[in-house]
Formats: sequence, C-alpha cells, structure tokens
Amino acid sequence: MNDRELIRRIQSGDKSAFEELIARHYDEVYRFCCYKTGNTSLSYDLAQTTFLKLVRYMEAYVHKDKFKSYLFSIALNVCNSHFSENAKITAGRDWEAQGEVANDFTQELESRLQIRSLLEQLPEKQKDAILLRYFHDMKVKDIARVTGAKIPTVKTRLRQGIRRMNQLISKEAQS
Amino acid sequence: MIKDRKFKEILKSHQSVPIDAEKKNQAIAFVMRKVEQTEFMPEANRKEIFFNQLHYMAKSSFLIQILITAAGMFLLAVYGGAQLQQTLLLLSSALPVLGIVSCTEIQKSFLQNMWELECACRYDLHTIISVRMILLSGANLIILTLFSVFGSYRTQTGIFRTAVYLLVPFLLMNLLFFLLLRKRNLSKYGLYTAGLAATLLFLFLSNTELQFLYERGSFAVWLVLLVAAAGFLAAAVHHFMKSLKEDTVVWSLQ
Repeated sequence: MNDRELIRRIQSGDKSAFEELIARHYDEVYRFCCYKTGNTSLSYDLAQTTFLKLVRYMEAYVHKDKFKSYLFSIALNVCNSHFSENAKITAGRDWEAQGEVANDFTQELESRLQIRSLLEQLPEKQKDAILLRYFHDMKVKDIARVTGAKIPTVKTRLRQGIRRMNQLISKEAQS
Repeated sequence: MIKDRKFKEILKSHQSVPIDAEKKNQAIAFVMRKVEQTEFMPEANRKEIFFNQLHYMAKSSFLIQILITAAGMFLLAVYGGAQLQQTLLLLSSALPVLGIVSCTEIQKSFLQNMWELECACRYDLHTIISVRMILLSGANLIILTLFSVFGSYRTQTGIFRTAVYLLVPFLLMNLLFFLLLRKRNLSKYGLYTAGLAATLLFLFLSNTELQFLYERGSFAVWLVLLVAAAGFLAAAVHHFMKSLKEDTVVWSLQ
C-alpha cells in the first residue's frame, strides 16, 4: 500500500493506518533531524514532534505531490523552530558520520575529514539542500518544495555547497 | 580538488545513522496515543459533493427544466417557420434567467441573517449554490443542445447559427452569475445581477431592432463570442473545482 492510499484511509477515519505511515517514514525523519542537529537524543524528540504536527495537519493534508516532501517540510520547520527558540542553548553533538566505506579513497578521506564537520561549516540553506539531495536522495524539485525555494535556487545552493565542501577539503589537505 | 561526481558518491556513502529500536517504538506509541485522541473528518471528494447536492436540490427545478424543454420543442414545432426568430429569441432570453433562481438563495441568506452561520459550515452557501448552479447549467446546456439540433432541423438555418442564438446569451449569463457567485460580498451584486438579467430580457423582448442583432451582426463575431464565453466559463468552473478542495482545507484549519 502506498502513502496515498494510507493517507486516504487515515482521512476516512482508519487510525491504524497512521502507525504504518509513521513506521514507514520514522527512520528517514529521525536521520534528517540527526544530520541537522548532530544530537541523537534531541533528534528523537524532534522526530516525535514532527509526527505530532503531522497528526494535527493530517486532516487538512491534500495529496498533490510526494508525501515525503510534505513530511520533510514539517521536519525542516520543526528543526528550524528548535534552533530559533533555543539559539543560546546548543545541544552537545554526539553523532559523527558513519557509513559504508566504498573504497580506499573514501577510507582515506574518512580518516582525514569528517563529513559531519564539513557540513557544519556550510550555510544552513546549502546544508539542507545537500542533506536532502545526497543523504535522502530527493529530487531537486522535491527539495524546492520542502525548502520553499525555487528550483534554480536549490540547484545553486547544491552547486555552491559542493564547491564549498571541496574547497574545505583542499584547505584541510594543504594544512 | 575532488571531482564533483566523486564527492557526491562519498556523500551518498555516509548516510547511515543507527536508530534505537526501543526509542523508535516509544515515539510511535506516543504519537499513536495522540492519534487516538484526534478525530479525523472523512474526506469528501468532488464527486460526492456533487452527488450529495442532487439530493438537496428542489425536485421542482428539474421539473421546470423538463417542462421548458417540452414547451420549447412544442414552440419550435408549431412556430418553426415564420416566427422562428422570435421563438428562438424568447427561449434564448428566458433560459439564462433561470440561472438567477439559485442566486436568490444567497439573498435569502442575507435577509434571514444566516450569513455568518452558513460561512462557518463545512461548505459555505456560495460553494453549495455554485455546485447547484453547475448541475443546473449542465442540464440547461443539454436542453439548449437539443433545441439547437431541433431548431436547425426545422428551419434549415444550420446548427451553428441556431447554437449561437441559444448558447451565447446562456453562456454569458451563466459566466456572469458564476463569477458573481464567487464574490464574497454578494448582497449588492446579487441585486445587480437580477436587475441586469431582467433588463436584458426586457430589451430583447421589447426592442425589435435588438431582436435581429444576431442576424445583422457579423456571424464570425458571434462565433468568437461563443468560443470566448465557453472558454471563460470552462476556466471559471475549473478554478472552482480546484478551489473546492482548498475550501475544505481552509475550513479544517479554522
């Protein structure tokens, strides 16, 4: 059963379908929050808040495009709201990038650089675009919907983000 | 400098974050408790909205439509020859005015001070009347098509010319009513519409010069008018159909 059918069932009053919908998307939402905040326990809270907001908005939800884009736009707002409300309180970062190492080259890169710290040095909007594009495999038009930006803007953010990370790597390598 | 493609591959490979299954289940259980406390209104699709309105529409309005069709056919059959122009004009002037019958409901709503209450309902009165108007206009369109076919058969004037006679005023008036109906402050506009329709009817019936406006005017101009009116009306209906969902959303968020 796809997202659209699940949502139709929920909006028709079948509450059990909600559990399936949450279980299906929880991991991705949690990971997104984790990439955004760098804190695992905070990310559990933010992921939960995202789904609580989804419960509130579900009745008004109109399925037009991908549900994932809609959910991620809520998650992005939840994370941004958290940062703006707690500007002075910074949760300790307890997560660093982990992953399957593709080959020697990436292993070498892993040893010298942390993807996480690279992302941290990017402007927030470029970071969001890169997270959604490469970590969540979203299309540019979906990222545009999530972030509320235009497609050329998203493309520019991606390009500039990649370029900036590349510059940081070169700088790191030189030092 | 690492090449972009290579860099993208590296980024893609660094995306696994371990998830604590227990915490995940706790979060899902918490959200589900909230879900249990929430009441979801059943989603109404457009088809249901239209079919539901059929039950609430006065049966007499459909009866009137059938009677008009029968009377029109009769008039065309009896006076089909010499007085065809007058008959067609009478029909083409009278039919669009039928559309205003639904607009009077809005006036009634204002007069009875039901406006605020009706605005707070799931589908406000404007939406309901618009839906009914689309249904009635659909029925009227079928009638006019029948008239056009029957009229052209009786007089050999050609189906397009007869269709122009009947459809141009009908489509223009329906477009006008429909657009006015979408206005939120219709109390004044409703009166203007009624006045305009009555004036047009009076002019067509009383002024012999105007009665032959179609005949004397360029047929191509009227054809363009027909296409434009049909196009605008279709666009207005399409816009309304799209807004039907959005109206539900607005209501849900109130």
